[in-house]
Formats: sequence, C-alpha cells, structure tokens
Amino acid sequence: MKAVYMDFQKISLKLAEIFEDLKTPIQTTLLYNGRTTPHPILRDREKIIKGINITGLNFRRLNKIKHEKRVLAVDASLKTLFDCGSFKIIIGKVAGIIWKGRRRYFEKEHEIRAKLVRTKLETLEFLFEIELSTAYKMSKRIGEEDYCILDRPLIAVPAYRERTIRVMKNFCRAMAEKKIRVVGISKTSKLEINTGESLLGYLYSKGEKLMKNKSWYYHPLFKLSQYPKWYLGDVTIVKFSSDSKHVFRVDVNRRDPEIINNLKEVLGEIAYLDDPSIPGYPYPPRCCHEEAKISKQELETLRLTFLEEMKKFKLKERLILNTKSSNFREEELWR
Amino acid sequence: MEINDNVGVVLWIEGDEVTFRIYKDKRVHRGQLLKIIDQNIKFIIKVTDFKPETLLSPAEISRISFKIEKGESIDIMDEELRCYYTATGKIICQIDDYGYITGPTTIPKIFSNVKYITPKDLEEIRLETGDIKIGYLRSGHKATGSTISINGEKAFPHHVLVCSITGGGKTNFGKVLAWNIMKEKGKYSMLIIDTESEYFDGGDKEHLGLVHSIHSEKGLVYITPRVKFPCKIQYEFRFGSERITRNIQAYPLEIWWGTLQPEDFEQTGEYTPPQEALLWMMWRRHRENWLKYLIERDANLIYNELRGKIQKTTILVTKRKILKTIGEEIIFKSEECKTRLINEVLKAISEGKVILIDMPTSSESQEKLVTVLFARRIFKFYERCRKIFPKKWEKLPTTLIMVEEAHRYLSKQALYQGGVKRENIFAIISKRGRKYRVGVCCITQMPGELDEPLIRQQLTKIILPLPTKPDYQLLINYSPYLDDSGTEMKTLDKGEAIIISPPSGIKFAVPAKIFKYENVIIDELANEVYIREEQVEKE
Repeated sequence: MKAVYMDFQKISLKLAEIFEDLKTPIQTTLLYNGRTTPHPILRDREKIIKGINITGLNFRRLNKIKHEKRVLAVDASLKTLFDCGSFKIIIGKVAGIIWKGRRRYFEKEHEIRAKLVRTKLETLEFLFEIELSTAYKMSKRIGEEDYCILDRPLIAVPAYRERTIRVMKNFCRAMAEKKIRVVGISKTSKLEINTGESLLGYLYSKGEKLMKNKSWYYHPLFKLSQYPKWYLGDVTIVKFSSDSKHVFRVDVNRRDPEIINNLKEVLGEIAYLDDPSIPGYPYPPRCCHEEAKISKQELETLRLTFLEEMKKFKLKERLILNTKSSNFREEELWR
Repeated sequence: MEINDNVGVVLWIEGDEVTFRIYKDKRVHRGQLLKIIDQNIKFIIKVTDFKPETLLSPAEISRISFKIEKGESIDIMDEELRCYYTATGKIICQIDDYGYITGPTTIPKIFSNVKYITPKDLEEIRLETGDIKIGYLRSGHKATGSTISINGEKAFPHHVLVCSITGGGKTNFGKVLAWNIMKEKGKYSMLIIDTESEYFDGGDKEHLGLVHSIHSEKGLVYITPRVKFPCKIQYEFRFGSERITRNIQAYPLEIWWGTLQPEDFEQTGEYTPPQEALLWMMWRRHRENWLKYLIERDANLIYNELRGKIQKTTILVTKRKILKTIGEEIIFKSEECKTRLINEVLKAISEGKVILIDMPTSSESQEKLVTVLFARRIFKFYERCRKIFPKKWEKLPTTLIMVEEAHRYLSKQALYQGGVKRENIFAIISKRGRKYRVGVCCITQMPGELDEPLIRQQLTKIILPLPTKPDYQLLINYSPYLDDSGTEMKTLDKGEAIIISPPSGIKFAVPAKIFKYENVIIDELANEVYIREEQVEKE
C-alpha cells in the first residue's frame, strides 16, 4: 500500500504543475507576445496546432431562443452478442427521432444491426456508420434551418478507413447543401490547453468567475483555417443552462458558413431544447440515448435468434465453443 | 356519462386486479365502474386506487419540483411519455355474449381498451332489478342516471347492516327504506323505533318525514304518546300553494305491565344473572302480576317468600332498576290498557305496514325494553305461524325490524357475559330469522364493536361514510367483495355509500348515492298535486 501512496504524491505534484502553471507571471518576448498565456491545442498526429489565446472577451452570453424548427437527433448503442476472443459479434441499435420545437414529431422503428468485428476501431466505425446512415435517411424529413444533432464530435478520425471518412465528409457536405444545421454534442472531450489541463475544465472554471449564474458559450477556439482536414466541425464550448454544472463541446458543421455566422442563434435554439429534469443538456439527444439502449431481454432474444441462424449453417456448436474459450475469466476468475 | 368512450389501456393484470393507464384528457374516480371488452367478453371493473408512473428519476423529480417551488414555469419534453397516471381496478364480473354474468374466470388481454360504462351495460349487470330502490349508481362523487335496487324478498331475511359515522345519512337511508316498504303496499312490513322524532314528520323545517308520503295513509301506523286512544291523526302541511292532509292510523304508546315478561328485561342486557333469576322466580309465582308484585311488594317480604334463595341486595337493586325503566308510567302502565298495543302492532305487521313507534322522551333503558319487547313478539309470532299455521305464514309479508344503535345489543360485550355467550333476540333473529322471513336492519356507528359472526350474517351491507379504521377494517375482514374498498370507505361523502347484497344478486361492492328522502317526496308530492289539478280540471 505504501507504494501507491507514493504514486499519489507524484501525481499530485504533476497536477500542481498543470494547474498552477498559469499563476506564474506571464513571460513575454521582445515583441510582447505572451508565451505562457493559455490557449487550446489540437494534436494532428505529431503536429500540435495552437489555437486562439483564451480571453474573457470570447465568453459570450447565451440566451434560449424559442422556435418550432424540426430537430433530428440520432444516437446508437452497442452490445456484444458473442465474444469469441479473436473476434466479436456485436449488435448496434440506432434511435432516430424528430422533434418540432419541443414536441415529438416523428420517429421510426429503431433499427438493430449486427457485425462481426476484430478490432476496437472496427467497432467504432460500425457505430459511426449506422448512426450516420440513419441520420441521412431521416434527414429527408427535415429541411432548411432544421437541425441534425449527433452525439459525437464532427471529426472523421484519421485512423478510420477511407470509406468511413468519406461517408462522414459526404454527410456534412450533403447537409450543408440542404442547409440542414449539423451539430455534434460531445459529453466528453480530450481537448486540452497548453498546460495539459482539460480545455473544458479550464473554460468551466473561468466561466464560473466571469459569467457566474449565466449560460454562455466560448468561441472561437481555433481559426477555421487551422483545423486539419479531418476536423469537419468548428468547436465551441457551451454551458447551455445557468442551472447546469456541466459544459459541453459542441461542433458545428464547418462546411456550412451560415451556421458559423449565426452561431449565437444556433446555440440559443439548441439551448431551448433542454428539459427541466436535466437542465443544461438538450433533451433530443438524451432521449435518443435512452431509447437506443439495448435491454437484457432484447440481447437474449437476439442471441437466441442468431444461434438459430447458426444452426442452419451447422455452426452453432462451434460458435459456442469459441465463446467458452473467452469466458474463462468471467466464469472462473471473476466469480 | 360518456358513451363508448375510451378511458385508458390495460397495462397489466394480476389475479383479478387490472392496472391500466389513464388517458391524458380523461378523469377516473375511485369506485367508478368501467368496462373492458375482449373477444366478446365484457369485464366490468371497479376502480380501487391510483398511482403515477414516471420515467423520471427521483433526482429529476426533485429538480423539477424545486423549480416549481421557486415559481418557474415548467415545460417537460415528452411529458406524456415520461409521466402518466395508472389506476388499479378489480374485475367484479364478466358478461359473456349471452348476457350471462359470472365472477371473473378469465382475464382481458394486455393493451385492451378500458371504456366508460353505458346504461346498457348497467342493465346487464342488473343493478335495477330489485323492488326496493335505494339510490343512484355513483361515479366518483357524481350520481349517474342509473338506480340501484335490492330485492326485498331475498335481502331482508338475510338482514341488513347500515354503518356510518354521525351525520353520514343513516336516518335518511332509514326513511328511504321505509318509504319503499310503504310503497310496496303490503308486500313487506317494518318496525321502526324512533327516539329522535325524525321519522314521522322530519323533526324540523328542513326535513320531511314518512307522513309526507302519499303512501303513508295506507302504509303507516303511528304509535305515539301524543294520542290517548286509537284514532286517525290528521296531519296537514303545505306543498307550494297546495294544502295537503294525511290521515294516519295512530295508537297511544301504552304497554301494560302484565304483557311484559322476564325475557324482555333479560334481553336488554342490563340485568345480571342473579337479577334475571329473580325475575323468573317472580314470573313463575305470579304470572301476569309478577312485575306489579315485584315493584310494589316490600323487598323483605319478597326475600322471605323466596326463602332466601335471592339475596336482599339483589332484590333491592332489581326493583330499583325496573322502577327506573317503567316506574313513571308514561309508557308502561300498571293497569291494563284499553289498547292492546302488541296485538295492534302484530296486526299491522301482518298487513304489511310500517309501524313507527315514536318515543322522543324515553330513556335508553325504556327504548331498549320497547325494542326487545316488540322484536321478540314479532319473531315469536312468525315462528309460531310457520310451525302451526304454515299457510297463514306464507301469506305474511317479509318483515324487517330496524335496530338503532345496534352495537348496544349485538356487541361482544352485550353478547358475552363472564365469558359465556348469552344471545338476545337480535342475535337469535340474525341466526334464525331467515327461516321465518324476519330480518333485522342493524344501524350502527360502531360496526367495530359488533360480534364478528353477526357481521357475517348481515349479508346486505350499506356502508355510508366510515373513516375509522377499526370499523371499516372489521367490515372488510368479515364481508365478501370489500377487500379493496377501505380507501373508498374513508373518503365517502354524506349520502354516498358502498352497497353489497349477494341475496339480491349484487355480488360486488357497488358505489351508490342514496336517494335524498326529501327529493323523493317532493317529486311524489309534485305528481300528487298535478294529478289532483287534472282531476279538478276534468270535473
């Protein structure tokens, strides 16, 4: 136990460096450029992109704007149907619902898809594809100035296959052409500032001082030209409600200049969609998140259905043996 | 009542309990009857309870309610999806294609529609087929257009229990019952002992009495200290601009000591075993004059006569008690009376009338004695008739004896003395009266005090407002069909009731609004005046 306490001490010192760094006097160059002024950074493989210095002037007041626009929200969830060690059979369920203002307007039956995957990246791509596919199909029911909210940042991760990246880019382009406002809201973010502190955490603490008891958004973080190609969205950090204790990363479609120019209106209209039960996060993506969940009963039914299918190919026993090979840990060690 | 309107959808069924979602714009009341139709079977359910259902977590509910507390306006998205109300109902019966009613033997499907009940449905349940009309079917706190009636012929011999707190509507119900009996013209008879002078003319300006009914002239016999000899009392009153007169047969309330028997005193429950023994000894020695002898004779002489078999103190206490009850000679006379009141009462009972004994100034012990006296005579009369003159007995009307404050006679305390059960006439009638078509209508504010077997024997129950738990819990424990009615009993308003009457075919707890007697009589009087005017016009 003594070793772990020593580890905790080392971590504390490291954190102190991160958090306290900003308290040291600003050092300037001969040209009076602040070198330790906090700014967001983006990592593009080995390259580090420095964003715009963080200043109080870029904290902007956010007001809810009432509207009756159609809002499409899409979310998907995954569960493992069978874990065979070297591969998995996974199930994805997608929920897509359209609201008109604050009223539920249209929903289609939640689609369930399955895939055999070997890597984590394949799993993420699968999730990505089924979400975008549903979003694209349902976007036919919405139009100009309506919204499409995704529960993810608008980035086409370079690690994805080319096909997947193309799908995302095409999607954003198509939505921009239709003038549908695509917005990606992330509940978590790896964005950081130059000291290593989380960007969201830093802005939240700053916001609490400058914009106490108010809803706000922070923009811009980067110049549009600074974003790498695989960044399809322009990043803002938003606190949707004065009651909320959370801030979110909100990406808006970079290919849609109209959205960037009307950012206040866009974010204000999204803020209007929050629910008193959980203030500070728009209800449509939250609702889709809940509806996309796969229950135990559903999973069991799908398992049995799949096994029936395997029977036809006389592969059922083989599959079961493969799953047993990976279940030792659960069955024997973690009992 | 809405016709063919959907109220909700079935969510779950367990046993005979149905849980259904109430649609957003619909309202459902506790005790309300609804229906579910599934595959040609109609299930009638009675709403027993409510419960909100929500997908919101406790933390979210807390947050929202706090905002409301702060005065903020709240707009919950997907509110109907995330918050809705459910009700539970009990399946009370099922009706098949042929209209055959049975208890529930199957269940409706989940997601079946729950609908409002229609007048046609009510006809199928047969709540109106009896001849004693007592009220309206109630939906929540509202009376519907459908009436509820019980079958007197079948219900009365199996006895009636009426329970309510003070001011709950017991007297009103008693008047409605009596009015029905008068209306049936000889089919039934009833004995009422009125110590508050409420039954004859209502007692005050706001209330009406039995005399106001058109049926009183032929259906009512009035026994009162107001008259000194048998006669017809002329009672006048105004209805609007019309003057109406009723001529009611009346008898003086006078009972000769000689007609009283030891058993009459014994069954009031006010005498100890040694005192009762003394009464019987006196009776055996002196027959009709036993009471006069006991009262007028010196205690020492009685003691000597009985050769010390009864203690002197017992004799003294017994004399004092009896004197207290009958000594003033207001009701009970030492000399033989010109009117043989007991005979007149039995005659009126045989003719199918309501006999109203009005004794407003009597003491509790006098009231008890009069009640026991007449109850015993009536029961003995029917018993003897059936055993000796069966053909005559068959022609007698079914009779009902109203017992106010029934817990004084039928409580565990009254029936058990020193651990030994001592039945009185009401307990005997409760057990055996059915065979002779003599029933008791027990009225009480404290059903919790009643002996449990007696509650079981009173098959027709009229439960008016009864909020005290020991009282309604005992009724629930010892009655069928009342399992889920506890909450409803607590929340009844004055005049609202829950009725069960298996002998009448009412095999579930029916929510009712008892007729307001005054409204019934006003309608009757309006009709009477109208007919009178028509007749005058014709002439």
